[in-house]
Amino acid sequence: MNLSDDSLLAGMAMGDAAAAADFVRRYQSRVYALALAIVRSSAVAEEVAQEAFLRIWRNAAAYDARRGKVATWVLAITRNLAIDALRLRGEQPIDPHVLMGTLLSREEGELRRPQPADSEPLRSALRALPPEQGRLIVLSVFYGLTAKEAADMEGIPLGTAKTRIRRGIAKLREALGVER
Amino acid sequence: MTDGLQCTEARELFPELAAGVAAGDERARALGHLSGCRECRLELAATAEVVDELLLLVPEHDPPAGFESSVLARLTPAAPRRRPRLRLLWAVSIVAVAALTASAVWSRTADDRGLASNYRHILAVAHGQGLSTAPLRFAGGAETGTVFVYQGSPSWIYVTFRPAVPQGDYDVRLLTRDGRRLALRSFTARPGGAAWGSTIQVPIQQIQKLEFVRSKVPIMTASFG
Repeated sequence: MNLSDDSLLAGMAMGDAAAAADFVRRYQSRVYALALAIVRSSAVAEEVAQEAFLRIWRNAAAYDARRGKVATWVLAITRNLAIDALRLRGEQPIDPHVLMGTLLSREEGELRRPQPADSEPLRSALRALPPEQGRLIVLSVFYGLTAKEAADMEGIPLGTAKTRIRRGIAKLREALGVER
Repeated sequence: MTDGLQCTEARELFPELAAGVAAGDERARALGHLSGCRECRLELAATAEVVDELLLLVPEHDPPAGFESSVLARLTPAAPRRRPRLRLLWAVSIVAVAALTASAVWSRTADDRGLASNYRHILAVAHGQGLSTAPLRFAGGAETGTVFVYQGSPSWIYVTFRPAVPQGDYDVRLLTRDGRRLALRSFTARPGGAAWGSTIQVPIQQIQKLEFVRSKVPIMTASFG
């Protein structure tokens, strides 16, 4: 019987080692992949991913199911740690084109797993965005840049950057069918 | 909120807010607006959903060999593995009590019959024989959490704390009606809310008191009848 993410997390909150093992097994490919996509170094990505699971283990009791899915909570923790790792090493974000290429790729590499079909509408919408909008969204969502930092990197006014991000997000939202 | 200008200004910040990168002052202004504007809260939630979905878009990639064992060694250096059957019951039980906790909160304004029905359902799901609760209080009497005890296989005790719990490490002990004092797993209170739980080896009717202790002094106590 496969326990739900919430159940495994509850088990972790109680110090259940077996629940932790199941949880790590279930999420390690996603956590490592996100860390790798951001830091672009397998050694650093591995360290970030390990730290992410440690953080999840310690904070499992604080997870609130009403505020979002387990997967997004887990990946948000991973993203934040990856951004911290980049900043700690004094590195500017890698060219957002590289990460955009990873997001848009439909090819399955040697170590990559098949991608779920339900991600395709969002991927198509991202692909259809004007490149200048897509880059800014990647810089903000994945690399944690403020609109000001992203505007400086792109060499454009702050207002222009904000407008592009907002319009880009609106198009993605439309593609996802997200309603208020 | 009906002030269109304020909503317009706030919504310009939502992409950054949803991505967690808004500057401190802008974040504060946006949150100030959100506290009084349901429409904008819904709008922000919709934007945040897009951001969440973007993170899920990264294709899975297997980590290097040995990753899983390295992680588990860091997570649980000394924790014994439980038997699968026990683990399943444990997980189901915890989910059940979490559901009951939520139900108890919501029930402050709900129909009591609905809560009773929910209670019966939870016991049925968890194959339990009984569930009891008691308030957890500071020495001065102020309530700081709720204790749930569950009679089943295994039996367990679970505590949800209010945010005001002083941070730090606590020893936890259970006092039984026949005078025994049982040490349970310790508890570390951290910022952002907390919960704690443990399996117990005594019938729940035998529980007289649960204590969270620091420097041998009970800081929080729950009494059962």
